[in-house]
Amino acid sequence: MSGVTDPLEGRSFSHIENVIYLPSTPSTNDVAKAIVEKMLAETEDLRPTIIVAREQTTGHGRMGRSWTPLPEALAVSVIVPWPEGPERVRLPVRAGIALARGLSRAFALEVRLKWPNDLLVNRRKLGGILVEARANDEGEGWAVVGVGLNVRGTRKDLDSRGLRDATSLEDAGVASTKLAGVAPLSALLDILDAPLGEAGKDPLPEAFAAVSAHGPGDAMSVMDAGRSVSGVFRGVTSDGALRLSTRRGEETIVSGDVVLF
Amino acid sequence: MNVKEIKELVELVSRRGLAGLEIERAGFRLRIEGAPAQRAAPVFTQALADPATPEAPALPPAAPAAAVAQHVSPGPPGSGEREGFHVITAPIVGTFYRAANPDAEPFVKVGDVVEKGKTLCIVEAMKLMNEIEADISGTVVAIYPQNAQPVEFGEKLFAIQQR
Repeated sequence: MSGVTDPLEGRSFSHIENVIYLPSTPSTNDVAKAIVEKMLAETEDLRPTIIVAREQTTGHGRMGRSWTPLPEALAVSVIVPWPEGPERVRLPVRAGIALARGLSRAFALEVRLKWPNDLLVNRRKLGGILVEARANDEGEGWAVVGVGLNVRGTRKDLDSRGLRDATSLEDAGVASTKLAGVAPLSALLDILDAPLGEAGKDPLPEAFAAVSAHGPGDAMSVMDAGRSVSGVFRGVTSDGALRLSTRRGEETIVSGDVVLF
Repeated sequence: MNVKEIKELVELVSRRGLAGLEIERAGFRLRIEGAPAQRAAPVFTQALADPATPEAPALPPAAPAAAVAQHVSPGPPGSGEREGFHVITAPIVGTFYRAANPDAEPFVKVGDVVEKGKTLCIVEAMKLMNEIEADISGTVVAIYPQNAQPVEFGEKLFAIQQR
């Protein structure tokens, strides 16, 4: 059909069955969730599917927080079966570890994780992950893993937009050949072309430590719903929860934003 | 005490801006907490008065003086109840949210009629936004945790009177 081009240039994947490419969409996670509902209503079977947007106009982070779009950022959402049992709650941290490892390898960077799964380079945010999941009354579940990744944007561009805590692949010094055309998207899809829930069967405390932006003994504060907890980083639990030594003893934190670290 | 009477009490607490209200009868206790600071519907919780049945549903099956108990059929834990109040519990440890974001309307309020599959809340752990759905159709008669409150695995979140 004339006028229709394949942005992925005909490449295929070993695990992903469908790639849906949208030039612009409000939120790839919302599109993914609508597709899941349709798949389950029509076939009761989830197919590994990725939704890609060149531009995401109202992407969101934790609790609806807006994700400021850059002119050239990638937004990708992956539909995956939600692993059962204890692996369920580990999915966001496992996805973060898989992306930190994969992006470091693909772009020759040192990508670190800010707990639980913000992707940092030089302590600035390169990308973020938001997992939205649901289980039915039979216990079967699905998850949508949304990834936002800043591709282009020089330090000057980012600072002029007030994004002093953000970085991009370009700002991090990735070679221009790796940023041309669909190369960044292709690299990201390669990382996601694996069952994310199985990404790294290693115990989480060790796997997280290998890519952590926090070192043992680092002071940090965590904000959650108006509450703040300050303490010293002691690693993560087997489920990926944050272990913090505070004046009251060790606390395990399951949700919140690390605001000072 | 039936659902209509409970709703009237909830509305009373809300209308008068009361901090709370507690009623105790033989075999059951009803506590309604107002939440004026959050401008949300009051949250009401019901607690078992019989410590010998900690695994029982939200309301005691054997509470002769309490009409509420008539709505409850015991059933084994985790099986849900075919009649009366059905309790939905937290599938993971996390933070309980009644809305998709701080500016959004709550997914449900006490008194709402919900269809099976309707999203009731989000329980968040490690940036995993876990949408909890109604596994039966009916009327929401209780929302146990406050918004943004930490909840434990298995903790009661909602009671629904099956339609």
